[in-house]
Amino acid sequence: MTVDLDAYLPFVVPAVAALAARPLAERLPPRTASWVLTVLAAGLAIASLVPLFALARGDLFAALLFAAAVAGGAVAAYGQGRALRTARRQARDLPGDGVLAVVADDRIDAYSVPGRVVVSTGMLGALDAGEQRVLFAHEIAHLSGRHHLLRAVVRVASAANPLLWPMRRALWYATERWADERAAAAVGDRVMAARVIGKVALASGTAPSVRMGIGTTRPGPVPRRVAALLGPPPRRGAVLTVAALGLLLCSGLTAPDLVGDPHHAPVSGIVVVAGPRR
Amino acid sequence: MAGGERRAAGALEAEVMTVLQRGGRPLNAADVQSLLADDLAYTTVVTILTRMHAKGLLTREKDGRSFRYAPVSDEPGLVARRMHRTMAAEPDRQAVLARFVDSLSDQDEQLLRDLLDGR
Repeated sequence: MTVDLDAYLPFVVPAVAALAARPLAERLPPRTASWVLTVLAAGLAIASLVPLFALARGDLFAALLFAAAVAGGAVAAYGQGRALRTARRQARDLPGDGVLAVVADDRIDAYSVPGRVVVSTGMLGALDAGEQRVLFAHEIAHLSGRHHLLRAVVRVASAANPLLWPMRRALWYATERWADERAAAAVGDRVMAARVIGKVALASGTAPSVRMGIGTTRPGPVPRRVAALLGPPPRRGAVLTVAALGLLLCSGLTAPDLVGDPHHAPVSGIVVVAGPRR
Repeated sequence: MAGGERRAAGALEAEVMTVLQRGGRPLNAADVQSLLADDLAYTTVVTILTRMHAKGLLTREKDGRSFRYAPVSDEPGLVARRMHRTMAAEPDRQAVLARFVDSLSDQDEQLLRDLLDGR
């Protein structure tokens, strides 16, 4: 019983991409990493739908997988759209007319929602003028880079193909790093930007760790962001970018190949993944 | 879901809020009705005022047979709290709400102190 390796590609490539997501987010310059992860997630989600669609007519299991993927993507897209609309509406109702909305709240908090940056009076009181610039530049970088849209794309893609799930967290981290580097550039001082992030995180207090598993000694995102700013500035990751996009190309090239021949081995590939072959 | 209808209600609430803020004193439903640019039925104005009071946006005091309404003074704080509440109910808030820092685990806190002290 021979199984054509090609048949596994719609599953293998996203799995490889998901494994590679975290290293990509850490090694590539954050802006490049964000775009590579988004394009990769969207492209791979589509590329894995194409062969399923082609097989769906003749294979009940493929048809079910295809239906589940499309339904998952559609539900996620609807949820994202609704969350973005709610956030925009709420952002309009916030006090003030400009981008910045200051809210009277002693807790130390700051975030951006599409269109607005919200900062508590507690946060403003904890930072001097230069430190505030780091904070504003970071949050405004989220807005001008439209990071919420990139995040929405990856969430929809990973809902359509759950193998891509780890890319959500990787993109989330990459966009935070992107905003950090923009903030550091705005004040011209990466060490200072690192200190502000660290200071705010320490002042905000700790929460019980939500990470699961035994012996998870990996540092959380904040220490990694601070360490990245204290280290050397990111270098171009041309080789990694090409490799990541090559992965997409590889998946994109095989998809029409499989579609062209509906009796091609992918059926067996899918059945093997699902369980014992009849 | 009637998104358009909800939005219209939100716009009306904003208008009522503006009228009450400009009024500078507690107003009853008839006052609000006469000051609103739109030609709204008295019962509609009462409904909006009651709903806004229920949401915690307005305070009210009994005045004869009706109520007089005034905006809650801490409006910015209120809007922020309302926003927090709504966003907390959104399953996808992580994607739309970009917080400056997440909370730290105990282990992260120590790591962060070490990192910052190293400089």
